[in-house]
Amino acid sequence: MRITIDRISFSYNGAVPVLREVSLAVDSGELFALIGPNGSGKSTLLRIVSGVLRPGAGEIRLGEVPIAALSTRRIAQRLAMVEQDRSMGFDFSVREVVAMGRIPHTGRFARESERDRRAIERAMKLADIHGLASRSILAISGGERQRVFLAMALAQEPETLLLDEPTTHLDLRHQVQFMSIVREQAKEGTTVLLAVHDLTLAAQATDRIGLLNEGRILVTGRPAEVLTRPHLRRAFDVEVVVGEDAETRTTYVVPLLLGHSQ
Amino acid sequence: MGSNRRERTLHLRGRAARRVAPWILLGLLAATILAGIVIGPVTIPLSEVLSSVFGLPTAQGTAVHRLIVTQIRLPRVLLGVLVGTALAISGTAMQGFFRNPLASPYVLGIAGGASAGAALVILFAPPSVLLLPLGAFFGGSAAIWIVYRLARSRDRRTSIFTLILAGVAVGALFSAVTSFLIFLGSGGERLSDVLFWLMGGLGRANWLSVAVLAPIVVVGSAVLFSLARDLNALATGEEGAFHLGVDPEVLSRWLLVLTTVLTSAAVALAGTIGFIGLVIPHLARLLVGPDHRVLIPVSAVAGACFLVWSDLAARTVAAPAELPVGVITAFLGAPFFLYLLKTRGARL
Repeated sequence: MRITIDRISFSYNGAVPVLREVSLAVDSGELFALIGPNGSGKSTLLRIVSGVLRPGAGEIRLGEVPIAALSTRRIAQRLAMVEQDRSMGFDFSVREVVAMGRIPHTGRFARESERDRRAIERAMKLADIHGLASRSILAISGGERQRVFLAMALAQEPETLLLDEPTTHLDLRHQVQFMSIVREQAKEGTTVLLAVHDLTLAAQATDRIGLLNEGRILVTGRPAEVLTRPHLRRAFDVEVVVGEDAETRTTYVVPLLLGHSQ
Repeated sequence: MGSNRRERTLHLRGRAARRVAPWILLGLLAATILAGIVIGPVTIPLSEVLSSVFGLPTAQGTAVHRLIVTQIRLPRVLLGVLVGTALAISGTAMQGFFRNPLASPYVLGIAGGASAGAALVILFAPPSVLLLPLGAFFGGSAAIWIVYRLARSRDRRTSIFTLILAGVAVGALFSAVTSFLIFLGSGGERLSDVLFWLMGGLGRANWLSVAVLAPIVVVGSAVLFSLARDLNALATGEEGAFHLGVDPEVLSRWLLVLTTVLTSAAVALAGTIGFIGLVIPHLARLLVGPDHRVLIPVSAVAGACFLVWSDLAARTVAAPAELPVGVITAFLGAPFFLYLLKTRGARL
């Protein structure tokens, strides 16, 4: 489902504005990355899209429906979120956590239906956590936990997936695995909005990128259009090398330590 | 560390276990109730207990026994069941709400506020079974209202850390109020009432107190049970709950109201009985895991059984004298809690 971010402005406690009239639209099946320096408003924007925060001005629409018109439950039926870090209060088993993804779709006293069971099994298979099903969520590694929360989000069968720096704590193998799952979801029609710091990852995995700086969208476009030296210099105040691997034709971004060389 | 123990706790959660668990629990509760009636200064044979409870004709010469069963022990045991249930599920709700097993109705200041309210009624109002819970409820509500207001910041979010600190401070304030009320009322003939009640006990149980508490506990448990799945969602954090379609603000308000009503009612009729709301939910979680759909009923039954057995100990250990039951629950609960702290440490 198409997400429309329409002239969103926001500030915490009425102080310095975090977002100023940000507008974006992400289509069904599109994987869109938000990049930008710390404090540029990426996470805040995701939280507004998810409905957790209410914008000071502007509107979020899922399809044609403004999110402000939807109940918390209706939002959760359409939209799932995976954050960088989520702590669990008690030692639920991995399967119990994934099964929570069905909460928005089932009645208060409903038992797990065949449909729920299929969604849970599928999500666990996709996230490659079948072997962990009966382990405690508190007794597995951070990388495993992140895949469990991805599986929970997938069990929600959302039309829209929001990801807030989901791969930051993952090693290379799990980063790749995580992003391939997300790409697969996008291919099947899920709208994906991803906030990410790893520019090379963004370049490889996404369809379009939006560069946020000081609460404004500096530029949006295909990865090669956005990830340029002048854009990144302006947003991050560093010099970078943007290259393309001749063999695989993948774009990479390397920051230069000495900054203002040449 | 401790992962082995955790693995083991996960074993009790199979589907088969879930199917038999309710029957085991009900059996346990029935056995506890019967034991609570049979055992005492006078031992009453089980057959007589059963015929008295179900109103069947009995052999001659047992009229006294029948009186003991129907007028003394049965209401006392039932009050124990209700109070134990109320305290245990309040504790379960608060621990789920705070995502922290150290929380309890006492930590929030609810019990302190309820005590002050009840002391006020006992000392300065005409004696009444109905006024007492009302006084306790207003005291408990006042405490939780102050705590909640203090802990709610301008952006309408509730900080759990502030909530606990405010709860401790407000609880201390209300216990000072209680002491001051006792000081004012000292010399009056109702002082012994207050003292009995401060120590906590089921000794003054009668059918009226059972009738007052029963609907509150039944309705309160049912509503809390209907929120079990939302409490599970809350274990992923307040924003996590929101993403699962559960509005954490609405849920918080329900939980606070339920806990205040249940705790105040229990405190009003049986005084302050500690540790049930702290230890029982934890023990139940060790047994059946953290899923509140199972945890809430198990806590309810475990709390009921624990209080009835504690009361049984309280009236038999030093018979014919009676110990305050709060002494027994603390003697059992505090060391168990310290043991948990020691073995499970920060993970607790």
